[in-house]
Amino acid sequence: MTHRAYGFARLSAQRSSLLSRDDISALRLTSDPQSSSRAASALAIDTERKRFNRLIARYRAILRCYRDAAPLVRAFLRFHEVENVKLIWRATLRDVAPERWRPSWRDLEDLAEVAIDSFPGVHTLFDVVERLRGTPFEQIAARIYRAHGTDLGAAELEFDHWASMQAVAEIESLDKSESLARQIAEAMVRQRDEEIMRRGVSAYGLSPEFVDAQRALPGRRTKADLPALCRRAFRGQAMSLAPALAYAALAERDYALARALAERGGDSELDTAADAVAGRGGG
Amino acid sequence: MSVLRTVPMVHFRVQVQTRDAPAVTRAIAGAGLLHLVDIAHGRSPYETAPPGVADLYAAFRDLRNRVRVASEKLGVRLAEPEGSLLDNAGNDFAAERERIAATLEPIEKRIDQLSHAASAAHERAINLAEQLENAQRLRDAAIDGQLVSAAKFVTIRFALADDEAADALASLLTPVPFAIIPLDAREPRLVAIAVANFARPRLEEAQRVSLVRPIRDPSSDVDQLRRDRDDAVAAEATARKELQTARDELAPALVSIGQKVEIATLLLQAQTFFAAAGRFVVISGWLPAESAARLKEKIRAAAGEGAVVDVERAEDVPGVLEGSMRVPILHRNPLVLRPFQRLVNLYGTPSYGEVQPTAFFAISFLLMFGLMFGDVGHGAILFIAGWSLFRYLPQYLDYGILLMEAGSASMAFGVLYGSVFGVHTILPTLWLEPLHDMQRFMMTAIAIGALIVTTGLVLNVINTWRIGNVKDALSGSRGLFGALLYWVVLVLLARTFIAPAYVVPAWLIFSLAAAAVAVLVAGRPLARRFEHRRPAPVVRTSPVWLTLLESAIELVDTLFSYFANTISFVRVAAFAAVHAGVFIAIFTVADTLAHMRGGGVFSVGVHVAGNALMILLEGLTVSVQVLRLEYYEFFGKFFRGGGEAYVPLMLRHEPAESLGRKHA
Repeated sequence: MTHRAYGFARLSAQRSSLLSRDDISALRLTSDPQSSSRAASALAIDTERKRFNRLIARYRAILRCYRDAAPLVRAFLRFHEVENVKLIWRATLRDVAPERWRPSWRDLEDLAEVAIDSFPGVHTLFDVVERLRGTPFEQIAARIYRAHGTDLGAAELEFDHWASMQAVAEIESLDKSESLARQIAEAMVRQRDEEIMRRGVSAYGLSPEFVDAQRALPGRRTKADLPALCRRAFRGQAMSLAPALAYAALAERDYALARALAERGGDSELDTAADAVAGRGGG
Repeated sequence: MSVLRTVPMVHFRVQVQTRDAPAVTRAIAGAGLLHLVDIAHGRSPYETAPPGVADLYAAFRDLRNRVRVASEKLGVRLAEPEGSLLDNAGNDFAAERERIAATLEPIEKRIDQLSHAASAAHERAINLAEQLENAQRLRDAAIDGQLVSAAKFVTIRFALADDEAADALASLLTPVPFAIIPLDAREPRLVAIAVANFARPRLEEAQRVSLVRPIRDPSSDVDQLRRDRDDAVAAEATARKELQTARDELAPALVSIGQKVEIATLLLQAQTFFAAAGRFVVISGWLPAESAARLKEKIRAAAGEGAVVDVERAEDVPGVLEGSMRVPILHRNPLVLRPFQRLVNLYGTPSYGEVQPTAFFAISFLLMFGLMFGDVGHGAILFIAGWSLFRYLPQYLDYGILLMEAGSASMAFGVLYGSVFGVHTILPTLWLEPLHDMQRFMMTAIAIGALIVTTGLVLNVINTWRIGNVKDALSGSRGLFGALLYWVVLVLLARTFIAPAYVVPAWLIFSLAAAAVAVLVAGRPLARRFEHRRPAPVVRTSPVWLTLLESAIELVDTLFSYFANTISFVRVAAFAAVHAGVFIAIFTVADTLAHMRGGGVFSVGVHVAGNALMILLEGLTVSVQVLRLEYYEFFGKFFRGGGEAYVPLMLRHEPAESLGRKHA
């Protein structure tokens, strides 16, 4: 219990807003649209990295303080790591050089199961599957390779579905007393489901009916939204897992916003890398 | 007494012209003596590094990464950079970078092409082997691919699916009419999926979001597939052979580039620690005092008379005594103390100027281990195990030495207890038997505890004095005053509880008490005399009586903790008793078995297994207990830590212990 109280205090100390006062005044000081755009671009990529580092630091703190919740936290971390696996999958299929996909890699530092340096000399999907041996992605990567081959859309959707299902399995095993934590975790998975839905229809050309079948939490809805759940968690729940998950959820939201900012902020390096990996020209 | 102090260090500062910096850096790395200091002291090294160094360093790091990737693709192991290469390498890093990049590029290109071809051939061979297997399974299931393709009203697909994937597919296909028919019993199962023609688009989409493994061309000719597979395997072998040929051909060049890049990266990294001042570069670091002249010579040889070298004793460098500047430490312990140095380092790295506790640690460790694990037989086994490690497995040298020393201590106390594998009839008991003379043993353990606690307090007085805090060293509760008071109370307790034969005379008690009072009274004036610094102004925030009360409570609290620490050593006697007790248990079980029919063999087995278990489990427990006593009851009294190991700039990494011998 002392671990949890400590974790609550520690995580509370990490709360902050997306942009600092200094960041905003730096933007205000620019005098013309071009320099504004450059400053915004630099700020966007810097903010994205900082948010991600903060997210990882938050997960690390939760892992340290809430050891019994480690499997669930690791499942949430896998949401980010699966993006790395998808990235290398895409890059291999489209034969994109490492220096072009490296900027898009999410560095999970010591929490990573898959290292960026595991992929030198990878030329085929079979190589990727081989390099993922000994990681949590070993089995799913092999199954996806056999089932979908070079169908990138189907493969990505399957990876996403698998990562969500891992989280759902861990949510199911939460103690009954952790009902608020369960609700927050489910809300996080549900948000991800929505994103997968959007991507499945718009990017992979699947029909809504089939993409809907990929929802990890089908049919179940909660009335309360994620911010409301987080607010509830911060009110007198110090001994529960809920505040920790709420902080993780807020950090996830911050990171999603920062990422959107970076992707639309005109950062040429990231945009080129994203285009190359997504196959939008330049490849 | 070199074992009580680390090797004396000097601060070494060199000023050379910027153009000589690369040559001087090579000379420093070649000598392997200077522990570099980031001269910006906490700021980023890039802010002060000579111009262009940061960019070159980044470029060489990139080159190093490229070389590593290329060598990994080719399966070539890069050698560690060696000092001998220094003389052959140039000092113009920019030109060297151009040369290396020009050599590396075609090598990378060729490796990439070949490894790509080998990977693709491998993947094709694997896929064709799978297709062949699937085609054979279809043939075994008597499926006619041609006939299936000709079906007019239904669409039939073949796939491999486990139960989970088949269920998922079924739920995706619902509500259209469909059938999933298992065709064989192997896992994953070969299935035929049939839907009405109008539902074919749904089947195709459902397959995209399920994990069934479709068999793309069920009408494939098995013989043709076999030929294709064989061709693919042959193509893969050819590609691998080409890669092997390239490996033989390119490996020497890649290794040579790797060495150059590693050396340049290391040297440039070192240069990011230098400070640029106009046309000059300042290099700062620490090295053992006796090696300063040697390094000075090497720098003069590299940079000529233009190099200005300044050497200063660590004690004279501002900030060292106050602890704001860290001096790296280098031990020079004899081989017998090496394993104990490791155990000390597990607790922390002592700071420069602190008394090195390794010798005290070693003596007290062996004394307590011997007392708790005293037996000639067990000691001999530990010794033999240690000697075997020492002789045949040099990578476990420290463990070997530790086991031999622990075994010797165990044998020595075994002789004193008269115990050989628990048998007391072979040797006479020279001192006592732990189980039969428990009270005496407990007193001895407490006496050892008092001695170790006192040693800790004395070491604390020396360390506190050395850092210039004379007042705390003399009149602090953990200083000389506290130590004397501890002894006064200790001898008073001894007079009350132990036999008169051991009682200390009254004059000694009075002398100790008088000394404590004298130290308390003289502490402040002596501090003023010896501290050589302006006394801090006395700022009273609370009344005198409250300050005195607080000090008294702190003193009583500290004294209680000393006695708790001392009593904690009773465990030495307790574990010695356990050791003797377990012997009795083994003998009892063995005797009981010996009286049964054919029990002789079991009896011997119990003796062997029991002793083996004792050595393994009890040996481990005793070691942990000794470490606990050392770390908490002994080190807690004086150990400051916060030191930094001496790691000089050199091309081949060497552990600090071996450096100690090199400098000796």
